[in-house]
Amino acid sequence: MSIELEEMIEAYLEGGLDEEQALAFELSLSDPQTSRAFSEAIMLRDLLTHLPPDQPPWELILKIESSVQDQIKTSKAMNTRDEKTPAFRNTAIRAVLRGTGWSLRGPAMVLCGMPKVDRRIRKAVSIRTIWGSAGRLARTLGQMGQKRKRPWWKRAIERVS
Amino acid sequence: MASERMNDGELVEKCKRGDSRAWKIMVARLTPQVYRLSMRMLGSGRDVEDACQEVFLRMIRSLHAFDVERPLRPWVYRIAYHVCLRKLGKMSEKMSLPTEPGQLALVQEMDRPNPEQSAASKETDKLLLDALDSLSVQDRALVELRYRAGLSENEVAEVADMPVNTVKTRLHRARARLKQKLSKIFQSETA
Repeated sequence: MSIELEEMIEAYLEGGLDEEQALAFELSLSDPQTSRAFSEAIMLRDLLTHLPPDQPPWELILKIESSVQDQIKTSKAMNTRDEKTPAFRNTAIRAVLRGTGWSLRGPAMVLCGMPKVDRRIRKAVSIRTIWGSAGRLARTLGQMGQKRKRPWWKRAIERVS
Repeated sequence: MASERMNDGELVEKCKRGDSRAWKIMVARLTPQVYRLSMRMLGSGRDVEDACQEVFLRMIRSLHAFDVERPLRPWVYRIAYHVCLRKLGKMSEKMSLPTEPGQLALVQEMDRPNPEQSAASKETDKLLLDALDSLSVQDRALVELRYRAGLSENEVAEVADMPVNTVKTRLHRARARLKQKLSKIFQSETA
């Protein structure tokens, strides 16, 4: 059977032909070869569509359900962590600024080592660099685990009262 | 239950929001179809189960990008088809699985129940299943998608990432082979 004839039969069976084409096809069924091809196509289609369906085992559905639920929980947890809350945004901005601060210290230290730069500038830069990096770092380390100090005016009011 | 009668679009919307009940319905609704395609392509029980699970996990990962206006089933079949193809590739790498249609039919024959146990009325189904097994994996999948899943040729082409004309040619070849294999039935019916 030619592919064209088969396509025509398929289209006819699925109602894809217009009235004129369908009529022409019906007339062509008087030809024994076309008629035979047509009945074979119907039979094959019938056999394929009426084949009993393979049902998945019930345990498989339960297994898939539980793995899907686990996956949903995991993705929900991930989404909550990455949520763009104002606090998260502020932390991110602070982190970027701090990173920029650190990156400026490198060139400053190089500048300190240059012999041609004026001694006073070098001194100022080096003090600024040490203050900016080690000083701040020391302060951060010193503050770790400590309770934040109350403002002086609060302490004064407490003493007076 | 009203929620179980909701259409695919509504179901997808709920699943996108992470509704676990909607996912439960989705699994119950789509597992039979995914299972059938996987059975047709992979044949053995364990791999079919793994493939079905993988299909749903992939769905979770990419559902956010799915357009609700489009039909759901071809999209799911597309995922299932590619998961099965990848699995077949891995299987053939691992144990040099025969990919020739005849050899595959022999492998799958071992998983089948004994023909003597099957009822006489199921003889035709058995012949048809044998005929289907004689096709190449891809042709078998195309026949499954076209006739059993009821997709159009265009949808089948989309699922299998093939041009429509290739799908038409492959289906023509598959039908010719099936008719040849089922000639006994055809002759007795037309006689």
